[in-house]
Amino acid sequence: MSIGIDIADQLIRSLNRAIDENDRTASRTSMASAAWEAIRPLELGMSIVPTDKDGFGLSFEDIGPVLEATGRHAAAAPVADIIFGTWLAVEAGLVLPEGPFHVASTAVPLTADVRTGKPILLPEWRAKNCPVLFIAITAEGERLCLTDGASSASSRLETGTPVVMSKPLPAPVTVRGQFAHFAAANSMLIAGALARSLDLSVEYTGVRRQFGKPLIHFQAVQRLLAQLATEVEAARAASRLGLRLLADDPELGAAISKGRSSAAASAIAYAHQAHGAIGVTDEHILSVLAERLRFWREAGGNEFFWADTMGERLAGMKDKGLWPALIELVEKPHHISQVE
Amino acid sequence: MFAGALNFPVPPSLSGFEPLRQEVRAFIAQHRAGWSAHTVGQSWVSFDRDFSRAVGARGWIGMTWPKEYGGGERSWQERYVVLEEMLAAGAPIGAHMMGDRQTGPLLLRIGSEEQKRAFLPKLASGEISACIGLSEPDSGSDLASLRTTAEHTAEGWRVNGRKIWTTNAHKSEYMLALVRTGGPESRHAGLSQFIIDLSLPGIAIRPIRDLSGEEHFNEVTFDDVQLTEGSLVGTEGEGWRQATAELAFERSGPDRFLSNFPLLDLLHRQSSPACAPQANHMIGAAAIELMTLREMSLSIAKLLSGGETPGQAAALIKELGTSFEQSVPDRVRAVVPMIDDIDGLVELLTAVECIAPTYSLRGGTREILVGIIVKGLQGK
Repeated sequence: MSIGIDIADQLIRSLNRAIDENDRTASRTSMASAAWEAIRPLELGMSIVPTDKDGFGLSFEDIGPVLEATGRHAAAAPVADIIFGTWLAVEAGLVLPEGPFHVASTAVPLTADVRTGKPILLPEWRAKNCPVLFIAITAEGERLCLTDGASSASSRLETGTPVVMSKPLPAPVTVRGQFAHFAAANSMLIAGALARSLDLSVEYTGVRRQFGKPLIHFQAVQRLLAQLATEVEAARAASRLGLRLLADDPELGAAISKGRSSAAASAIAYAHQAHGAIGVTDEHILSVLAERLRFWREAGGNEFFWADTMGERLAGMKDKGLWPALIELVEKPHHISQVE
Repeated sequence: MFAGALNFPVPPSLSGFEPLRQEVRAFIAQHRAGWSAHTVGQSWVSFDRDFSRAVGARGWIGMTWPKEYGGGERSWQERYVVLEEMLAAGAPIGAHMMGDRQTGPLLLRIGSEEQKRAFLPKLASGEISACIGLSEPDSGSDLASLRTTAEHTAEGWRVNGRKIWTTNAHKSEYMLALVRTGGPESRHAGLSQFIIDLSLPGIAIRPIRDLSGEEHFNEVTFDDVQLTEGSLVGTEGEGWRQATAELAFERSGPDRFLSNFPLLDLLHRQSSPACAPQANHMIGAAAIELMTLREMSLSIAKLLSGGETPGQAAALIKELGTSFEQSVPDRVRAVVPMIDDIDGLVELLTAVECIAPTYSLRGGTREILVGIIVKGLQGK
């Protein structure tokens, strides 16, 4: 875990050096490329690749702080994409070209040829000329596919996008069409972005004065901050638990983390309320966080999708009773990773 | 790692205690036939002395206390397993809950040797119950304004005043009370804790009927009640600090999100095919919230076991947990027409709804918790 925190610190320092987040004149493209240049030396791609495949061998849980830091920064750098995409590529034996790429969180049912069958949403803020890694569901199983950069310039992966590389995945990584591991990663991005919105709100209401005193002294304002804080901590705890469960049970890990964090994402409304109108201006970082949250809460399935998935799973365990079923899921003997 | 972030360390796995979990489930299965839906719906407020004695006989009260005081010297994780199993089943643990959670640990930490020997073994066997005397008619959330007094006399202490909203005082043998030993304006600095035998002359207990038709709350009047010197718990004038140190235990346990779990369980077992998709979705969403709360609660339990008092994180869990519990009745109503009274659903729901308003009152009101959480956010 502490290695993850060290990498997270380096990441934040690198991003802060490279990007002036208050500079709203910079174009999305220049922001995205600056962010990429900042993170490239960190070799984040190797972080969760196993050591026997020349990676750093960190666990999904270890990488949590790096994802949280990325969310906090609202960085336009595809940090989660690089970490989880490279891991998947190594698993599939697919050699990635140099440079940034994005990961599609939704799998594509593939028919006859290696072309995408339906559009997939991609983040608006991404660098438009970089390739997209996506999972195709075929009759033979899941395949990892890479598009070429030039043809994936839009914010959607369109039908007919050419695929330059494709390899079968050794084990399935999707649940009902969502890339489960990437859903859990997006969950921690949400936790980070929400945590930042809380810090901004505490800071702003501590400085902004009305009726002769700082806003934070009003109980009505304190209520907003406390409600936001509970959602921040819930998102963070669910993400951490989800990342921990992911290796043994991707469906459960994704359902708990993404099911809770996507629901928490709406709590940015409390931050907006605390900030007043300044928070919805284009210049304010809160508006950037809000944009990120709108995307991340859908990426890899939203809270409704994962509540359905979790509910279906529990419905299949009716004979056990709800409590024994829940304990069986979260306390499997092989989850013993930290013994007191 | 960041400013404003509360410390929620990674909790340990409880999977190593599966045999204990199975023992508790088997024990509950032996007893649950006698529990009405009303009892189950009110769970940890339901007072059943015989059940508590049986739990005590199994060594499941005061599990972490030293053996010389009737405890089991077991780990906090084992205690957590027993408690969460009891709560998930809606077991009537009200007769020993306070002693196990607060009074026992408090006495263990700061009680005199005499007090430890007198009370801990009996609390651990389920033989006696100790209620907690905090609120007064004019002091609710503003606890520092308490007016019940204890005056030092030649024989010990003389208590005068009135406590109110004391849960299960009418069925308890003792009260752990916070009262004023300093001057009328001494606020926090003038408070001390006493353990009071409720059979003493001068004590009148009046149960207060609540909206469920039951009597859980009480008004307790002290009229020149003479206590021995040894009734003072801890240090004179330190009562505020002593009492608030226990609040993190009171606010972060599984009793803050599992109080009405049997409602969800009933729906999981019994939902008809007609409402299955909605019921599945609701159960799935609730399960995700519950497992998140459990992760947070276990994290705080780990800190508490290490001697820390994470008051702000505990306040946050209580706020999140009780808000969840209070939302459960409406989640159930949204998917099952009440006219389909499956397996006593209406009685269980009614019992829960009658007690649900108190979830966010007991152990610190929502409004007080908000203030504590925000202080934490400001790094105060």
